[in-house]
Amino acid sequence: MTDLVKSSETTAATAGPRPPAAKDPDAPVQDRDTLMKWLPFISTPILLVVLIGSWQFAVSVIGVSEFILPAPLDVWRSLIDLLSGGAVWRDIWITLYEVLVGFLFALIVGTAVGAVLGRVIWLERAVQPALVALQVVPKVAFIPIFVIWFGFGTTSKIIMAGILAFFPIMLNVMLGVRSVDRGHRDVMRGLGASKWATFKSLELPSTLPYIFAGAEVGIVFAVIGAIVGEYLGGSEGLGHLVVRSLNALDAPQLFAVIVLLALMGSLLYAAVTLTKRLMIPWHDSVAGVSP
Amino acid sequence: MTAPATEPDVAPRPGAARTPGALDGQSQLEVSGVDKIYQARRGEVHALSNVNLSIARGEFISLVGRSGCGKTTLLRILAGLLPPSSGSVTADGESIWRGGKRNDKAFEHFGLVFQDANLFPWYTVADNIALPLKLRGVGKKARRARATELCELVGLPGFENAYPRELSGGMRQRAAIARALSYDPTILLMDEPFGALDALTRDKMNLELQSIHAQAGATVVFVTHSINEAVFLADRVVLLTPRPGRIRSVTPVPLARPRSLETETSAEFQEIVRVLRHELDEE
Repeated sequence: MTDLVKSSETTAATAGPRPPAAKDPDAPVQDRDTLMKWLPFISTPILLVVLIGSWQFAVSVIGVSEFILPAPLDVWRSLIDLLSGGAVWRDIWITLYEVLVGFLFALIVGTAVGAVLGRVIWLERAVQPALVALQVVPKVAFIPIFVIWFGFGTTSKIIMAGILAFFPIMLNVMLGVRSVDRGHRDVMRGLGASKWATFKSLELPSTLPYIFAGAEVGIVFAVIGAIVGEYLGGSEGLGHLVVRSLNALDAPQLFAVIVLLALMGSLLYAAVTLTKRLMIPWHDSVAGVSP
Repeated sequence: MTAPATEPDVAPRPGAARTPGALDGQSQLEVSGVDKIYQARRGEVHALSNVNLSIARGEFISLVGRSGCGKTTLLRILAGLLPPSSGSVTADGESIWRGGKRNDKAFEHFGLVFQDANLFPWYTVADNIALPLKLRGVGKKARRARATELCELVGLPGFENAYPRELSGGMRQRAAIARALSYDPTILLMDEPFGALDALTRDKMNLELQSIHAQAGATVVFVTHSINEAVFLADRVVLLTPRPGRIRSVTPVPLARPRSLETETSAEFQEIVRVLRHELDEE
């Protein structure tokens, strides 16, 4: 922000009524900007085609065993069978439920703990070694313990999803609370703003981008937590379906379930990003770099 | 107390020369015996030593000096952002610091402008400008009307709905000035507000600040490290010298207002600048 203030294209400021975010209407630059904007929408289908093409190539030309790598079409058929069979919808719902409950729990607790630790410096110092220890421990190692404590049902997976999502959210919020611009604070103090007004007009909006940064990582981690939980100690859910497919040596179905999991993860991530775009349209991560 | 902005006789009088500090001969800001000592890692830093200054209503004061001379420290004390180690500051007879605690009531008529615009990126220009009014419980409609009016005044017409990131540095600083003016402050404190701007924009902003000052009639304390800027704007220039920060001299600037860029080429102007520069080099 500050180095932008120093930009020198300032004298034309008053001239003319508002040209919002006026850039040079230079045609070539505009063309490149448009191209940059649409590039991912062109490149992604191409990448997908290349991926599936080489997959098919490996199966039909190189002749990789279909136990190791089933043909794309077989996976597609298996996927259709699964979805039309109906039983898979329950597994989808179970996994989605575990992810969402765990994530929401992490979001609320992570934001609260992060906000407190960000403000109460002595407390943060006191618990920092414990936090670091908790963070470096591979948390999925605890799944068997959670299974012993909470059973094979959804609870142990919710807890795993929640714990994995908690740390990135909490750490980001802690950073966010501390990163409130000093100059902005001076403005509020100079105006004699109350604590509540300062929270509402300054601290909350300036922390929101950090909450979303944490949530974007958190939702991905929550999916991982739920799936690994189902792998190790599950009786239902998509992760358990992966294990079942593996035990039945049904490679096409195994791949199909993985595709479903990938889709679920992407959609959840997209939902968080979309919420971010709606909530903080002003932020650089949404609006792009300033003109 | 009455806000000078509402008194008809302080309205812009083109061509009229104002006698420095003699609007009503009454002091509005009173700094007496202010000391500021910072506790640094390597012992104490004496940032300000026995600063005494009396500023009249409607007067324009420039604080100049090298970096580290304590001019920003002094302004932050005046603004209620930093408690003085000793001494007192009163605004309209009301003490602004009471036993190390900020007396919020005394600051109701203060407007602050910082080196950075410090606009909130999540608010539009209009919402930024009207933020002080929002904190004072002014209704949405009235806030909007005032913001539109101020955009006009500071030369940002039509930018009410723009976000700060869509503005250039100079435009942001204008918006920051508009924010400070939104509730008709009678005291305007400015800490190198144009320091980050290029020379051309700066000249322009100085001219505009002069006319805003004439229109709003507020008392202004303006921190800068440019002697030219200080002399151009001020009724009196206060020169500070460092280690410890103290007032070296107070120089009246009896140049007629409104001043134009040609004023800077006049012999009188040059002479004042020369004397000040000499004093600055002497230390």
